[in-house]
Amino acid sequence: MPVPSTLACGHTGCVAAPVVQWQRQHAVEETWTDAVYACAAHAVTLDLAAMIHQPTCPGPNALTLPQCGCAPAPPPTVPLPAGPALPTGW
Amino acid sequence: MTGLAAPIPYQWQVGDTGNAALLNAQLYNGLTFLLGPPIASLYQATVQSLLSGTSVPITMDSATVDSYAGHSTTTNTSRYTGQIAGWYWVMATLDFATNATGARSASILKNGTTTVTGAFGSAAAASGLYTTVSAAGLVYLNGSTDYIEAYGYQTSGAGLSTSSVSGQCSSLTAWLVHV
Repeated sequence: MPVPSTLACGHTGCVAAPVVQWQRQHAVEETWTDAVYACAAHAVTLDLAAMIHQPTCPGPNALTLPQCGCAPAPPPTVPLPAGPALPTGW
Repeated sequence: MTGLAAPIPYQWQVGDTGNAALLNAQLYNGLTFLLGPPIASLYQATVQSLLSGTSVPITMDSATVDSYAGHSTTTNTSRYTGQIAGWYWVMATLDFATNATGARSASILKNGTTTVTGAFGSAAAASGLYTTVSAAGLVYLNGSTDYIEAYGYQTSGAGLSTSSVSGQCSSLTAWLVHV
């Protein structure tokens, strides 16, 4: 599927197509998230992109990349259930 | 035409007579709804990073179709919120970047807590290959607040991104099949 033309790198003035995305807490409703898009040149690190960032996160400001300077929320601690034990031989 | 409410079929009585307004309300609107029920086909055009060992919602930044506007590409992009109460057939297909370590899974959760369906998959047999895992099932959405999300999980031991290559990418589909 193509990248829609409505998606753009979130760095001010950059017109490159986004290639990665991460999430930022909504400024008003803390249980919501807003999508942040960035081109390859304006992306945060892989680990930072995996977490929910603060509403005030400065990324993808080029001055703070590849770090963003905010303290992202810790990852969820609830893993998927292990599932039933299978019989011997499976 | 979209945005019609779910029809409530009228049971005709002896002596009933029809006119344009009644027939439109009792037949036209219902048939139009049945021919065009809420459907959504969402996909992820730009990749997302997943921490190892953590189940996280997969964001859908794009939509091929979203006939009842149950999805946003700016806020809570992982969610599809049913706009009409009923049972939805839902399917998630998740593509993971090339990596040969650990397990992968795709699941669909209702309201972030209840697992509707899920499936595990293995990492690619060798580096250089992508992994795809799909899950599908039926879920009841109340037509106002209930939403579904596709969750991805991977245990490669490090951050791993989804993949989007040559139009092949993660997706979430919803289709109202029963009210």
